[in-house]
Amino acid sequence: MTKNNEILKLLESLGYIFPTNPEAIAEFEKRYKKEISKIKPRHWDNPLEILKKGRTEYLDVKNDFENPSYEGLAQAARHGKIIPDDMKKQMLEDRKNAKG
Amino acid sequence: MKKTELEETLLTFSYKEENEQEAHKAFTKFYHEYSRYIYKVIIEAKKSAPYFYDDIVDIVAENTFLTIYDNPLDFIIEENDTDQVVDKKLKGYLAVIAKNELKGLLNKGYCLQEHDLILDNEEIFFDPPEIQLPADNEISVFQKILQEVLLTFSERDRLILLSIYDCHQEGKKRPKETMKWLAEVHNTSDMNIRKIKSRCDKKIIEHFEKTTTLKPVKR
Repeated sequence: MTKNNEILKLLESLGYIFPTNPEAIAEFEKRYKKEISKIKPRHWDNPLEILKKGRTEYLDVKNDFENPSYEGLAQAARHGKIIPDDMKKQMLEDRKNAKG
Repeated sequence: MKKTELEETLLTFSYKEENEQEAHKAFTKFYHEYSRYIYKVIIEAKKSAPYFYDDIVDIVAENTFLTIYDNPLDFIIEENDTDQVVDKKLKGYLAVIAKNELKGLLNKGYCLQEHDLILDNEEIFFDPPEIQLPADNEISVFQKILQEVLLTFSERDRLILLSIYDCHQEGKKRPKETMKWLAEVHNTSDMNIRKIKSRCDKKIIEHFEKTTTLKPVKR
């Protein structure tokens, strides 16, 4: 069913989500042809470095997230976990005081 | 890369223990052929996930190439497929690997707490609304309409929605894990995420109905 979902195809063709449908891939390539040709991947000069380096299994979480879109992202980005309610309240108070 | 060349490349990967030098040569060629495309795919997808360092693009790309190098024969080339079809299938396959790599890293990075979610047998929840677009317009027209409606959502709702849509067609476990990190990252509940999805789906359908002659498909 989802394979033929038109919204999904549009989103994939725009690159908003990973393009997996052949038609969407063709549209994606058409749309970004110039940009794709200008990209220089990190290991372009020596792809074998990837094999030497091996897989990255864990992600470094941002701890100095600048200009967060909103509080939830900022919290998650800073700490990688949910902030307890009492700490959240304190943070909001601190922010109000700082503005005042 | 042509079909026969790709078959040979993947086969060379599979014999890397017997002939490492040839496998390395094949890997270099394969990387040069597909890395630009896969980088662009990841760069665009990362725009829906701005809470990561930019090096996530390199990391996901590296892991994607390592995955196909380690398991080259998981990609099936059909006998009747043309060069062009194989090319598209491979790019789709690499995008699926990249998506799984990104989601895997997200789960490890953000899901530190267990959540009590009931999502089994609800894979359908992750699908975008079903609509049938009229065949009389270019795809670029519909892309524009979709972009317009997405821009009317708050950034938070848009990010949540795109993350949900990106989980379509995945197994029962994956959506559950994804809901876990979505709730965690956005500091909200799975119930609220459901409400956002439902509200945005409705707006998308309404916007397309208003601007095109489409008829929504009943589910």
